[in-house]
Amino acid sequence: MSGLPAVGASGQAAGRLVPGRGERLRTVAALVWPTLRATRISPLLAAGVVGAAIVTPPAVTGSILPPDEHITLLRLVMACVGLGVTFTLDDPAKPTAETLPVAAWLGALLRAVLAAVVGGACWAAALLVTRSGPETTSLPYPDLTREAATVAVVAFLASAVGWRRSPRGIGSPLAAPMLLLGMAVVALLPAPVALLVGTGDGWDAAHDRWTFLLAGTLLVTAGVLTARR
Amino acid sequence: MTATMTVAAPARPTPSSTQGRRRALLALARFESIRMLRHPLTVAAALLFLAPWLWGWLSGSANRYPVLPDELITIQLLALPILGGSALIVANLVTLRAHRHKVDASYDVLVLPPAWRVGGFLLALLPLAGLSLLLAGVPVGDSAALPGAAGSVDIATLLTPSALTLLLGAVGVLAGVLIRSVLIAPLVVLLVLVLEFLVITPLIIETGWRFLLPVYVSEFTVPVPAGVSDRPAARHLAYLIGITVLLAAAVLARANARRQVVAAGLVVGLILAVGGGLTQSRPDPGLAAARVTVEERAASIQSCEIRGDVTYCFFEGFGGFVPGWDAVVTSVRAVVPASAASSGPPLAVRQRASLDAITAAGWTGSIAEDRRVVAGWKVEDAAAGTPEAVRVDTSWGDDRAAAALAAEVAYRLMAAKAYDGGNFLCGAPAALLVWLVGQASPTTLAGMRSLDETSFGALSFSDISSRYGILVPDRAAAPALELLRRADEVAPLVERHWVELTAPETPLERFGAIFGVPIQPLAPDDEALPCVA
Repeated sequence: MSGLPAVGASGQAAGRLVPGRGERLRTVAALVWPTLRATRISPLLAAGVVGAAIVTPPAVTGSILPPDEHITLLRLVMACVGLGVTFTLDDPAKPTAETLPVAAWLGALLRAVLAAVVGGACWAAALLVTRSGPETTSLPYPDLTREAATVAVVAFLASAVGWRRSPRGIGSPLAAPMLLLGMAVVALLPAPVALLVGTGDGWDAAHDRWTFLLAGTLLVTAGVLTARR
Repeated sequence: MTATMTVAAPARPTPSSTQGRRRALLALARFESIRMLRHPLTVAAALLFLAPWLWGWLSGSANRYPVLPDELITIQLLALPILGGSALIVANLVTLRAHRHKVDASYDVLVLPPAWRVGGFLLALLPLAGLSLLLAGVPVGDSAALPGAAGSVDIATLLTPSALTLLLGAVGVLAGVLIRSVLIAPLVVLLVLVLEFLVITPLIIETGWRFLLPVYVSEFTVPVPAGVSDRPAARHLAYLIGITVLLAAAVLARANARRQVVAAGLVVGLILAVGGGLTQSRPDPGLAAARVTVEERAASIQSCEIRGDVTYCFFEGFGGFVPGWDAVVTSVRAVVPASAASSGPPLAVRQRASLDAITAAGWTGSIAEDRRVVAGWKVEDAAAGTPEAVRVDTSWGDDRAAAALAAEVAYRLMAAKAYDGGNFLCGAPAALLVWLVGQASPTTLAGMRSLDETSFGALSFSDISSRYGILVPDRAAAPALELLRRADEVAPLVERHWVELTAPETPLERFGAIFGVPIQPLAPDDEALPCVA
C-alpha cells in the first residue's frame, strides 16, 4: 500500500486532500489583499497621467479642434493606459509562488479587476478633461470607451502571454512592445477592415469590428490564463 | 574552531591599454548591433514599415505617378514612429538588460567602464540606422524607377529616416541610463506619436516652428514643382544629427565619461543643432519670386511635348505624367462626335499649380478671385501660343484626377474654350459633360463615382485642392449617371443632338426629353446657383 489517501467517486478525498468550496473561498479571500498589494499599479498610474497630459493642452488653451483630432488624442490616451495595463501581471515572486492552493487564473483575475478600476479611472479622467474643452460634447464617447476597453483587454492578453513565457514572471518587456506593434498594425489596416476610422460613414461598421475584437480577445485571454502549462 | 576569512572587494580590473578598451568597445558594439538587428521588434517594425508599399503592389492600388519629394515625406512620417519607435524600445531594452536580469553589480568586474559600455550601445545604433536607410530606399527606389515618377530624390531627405532612427535610439539609451524602467520607452514612443500629430496640424504647418519637430510636411495642399516649397532638408538633417550628438553627450556624461569627450560632444552637437535649427527656419530668398512665377507665369518655365495634334506643357520633372494625360484626352475625344474632337483652337493641356498654403483658418478665397486667377492664366496661355489650354493638376495617378481632367477636356470640346472656373455648369451641357466623363473610360467612370460619393449638392470635378474644378449640380448629374447604363442607344443621340446639347441655353429638361430620362423639379436652392454664362 502506498499510503496515499483514497479518492472517492465525488472527487472528495477521504483525507481532505482536495479543499471544499468553503475552504477554497476562504483561500481566495485570503489571497485578495496580498495580490492587490503585489500588483504593479505605479506604471499604470504613470501611463494614465501621461495620457491625461496628452488631452489637457486643447482643453486648457480652449483650442477648437475637429472631432477627428480629439479622437486621435483620445486614442493615444488608450494606448498609454494599455501600456500601463501590460505591467499588471508582472510578478517577480512567480518562481516561488507556483504551488499555491488556488488556480493561477484567480490571481490574474484579481489583478485584472484592479487594473480595470485604475485604468478606468484614468480613462474617465481623460474623458472629463476632453469634455471640459470647447465643442467636445458631441464626440462619440461610448464608442471610444469600447475601443479603450478593447485596447486594455488586448494589453492584458499581451501581459498574460509575457507572464506565461517569462520564467521570472516579468512579462512587460515583451508585452509593452507587443501592444505598440499591434496598435501600429491596426493603424495601417486598409479601408475595408480599418479599425481606427474617423467620424464618417465607416464609423459604425468599424465599431462592430471593435466589438468582435473585444469578444475574441476576452476569449483568447481566458484561454491563455486557464491553459495548463 | 571556525576561521572567518575576510575577502576584500575586488578592484576593477585595469585594462591593459586604451587600444584594448577600444577593441572591447567595438566588440561590444558589434555584438549589441547584431542583437538589435535580430530583435523581434526590429524585424516586425521592418515588415510593418514595408507593409503599405507591399500592399500597394499586391492590391494594385500603388500610384504609378508618384511625386518623389512628397513620397519621401510620407516615408519619413512612417519611419518616425515605426523604425524610430522600435529603435527607441530596443535600445532601451539593451541598456536595461543588466538591470532587468539583476546583474549590474557583476558588470563591475568587466574591463569596460560604464562610459565605454554605453558608448558601445550608442555605436550599436549605427547598423540600425543603416537598416533604416535600406528600408526607406526600397520604396523610394521603386517609385523613382517608375516612368511616371515626378521630381527627384533629395539625398538629405532620403537620409532623414536613418537620422530619426539614430535620434530615437539615442533617446532610448538615455532613458535607460536615467530611469530604470521598461515603461519609459513605450511611453516616449507614444509622445513621439503626439509630436507626429502636431506635425500635420495646420496651426504648426503655417509657422516656422514646424522645422523644429523631427519631421515636417509640405505647407501646400498639393504637390508643387521644385524650388517652390520650403524644404530645408540638409539643414534639417544637420539639426537632427546635432540633437542626436547632444543626446549621446548626455548619455556619456551620465556614465561619467571623460570631461573632454563630453565637452567635445556638446560643442559639436550645439553647433549642428543650433546652426541647423536656426538656419532652417529662414526661407530661401528666391522662394517668393519662384512662387509667383509658378502660379502666374508657368509657361515661362515649362516644357511642352506634342503628341498627335495635342500639346502638353508641364513643370520640370513632371514629364512622366504626359502619357497618362494623353490617354485620358484620347479617351474623351473618342466619345465626342468627330466634328467636335477638334473644335476651337488646337487642343493643349497645361499643368497649373495652385499654391494654396495650409492654414489654420482654411481657405479664405472667393469665387470672383478664382475667376480672376483663371482669366490671368488664359491670357498667359494665349501669349504662349496655347490658347484655351485645358488645366491639369500637379498630382496624378488616381481615378479622381483622371475624371477631373476628363471633365476639363470634355468642357473644352463642348464649348470650344477652357473652363473659366468658379461657377456651376448648368442645363443640358452639364448633364452631357457627366455622361461624356463616365463614358470615356472605366478609369474616368470610377473616378467620377468616387468624386460623387464625396460631393454634396454638386458633383465637383476637382482633385485635392478643390479649386478651379468644374461643378455640376446633383440635379444635372443624376440623369446622366442613369444614362451610363444604356450607352449603345445614347451615343447616336448624342451625336445627332450635339449642337443643341452643348448650347449653354439648352435647359436640363430638354436633355431629359431627348434621352427619355426623368428630371427632378427645380428646387428653390437650385434657382440661386450661379451658372456659367
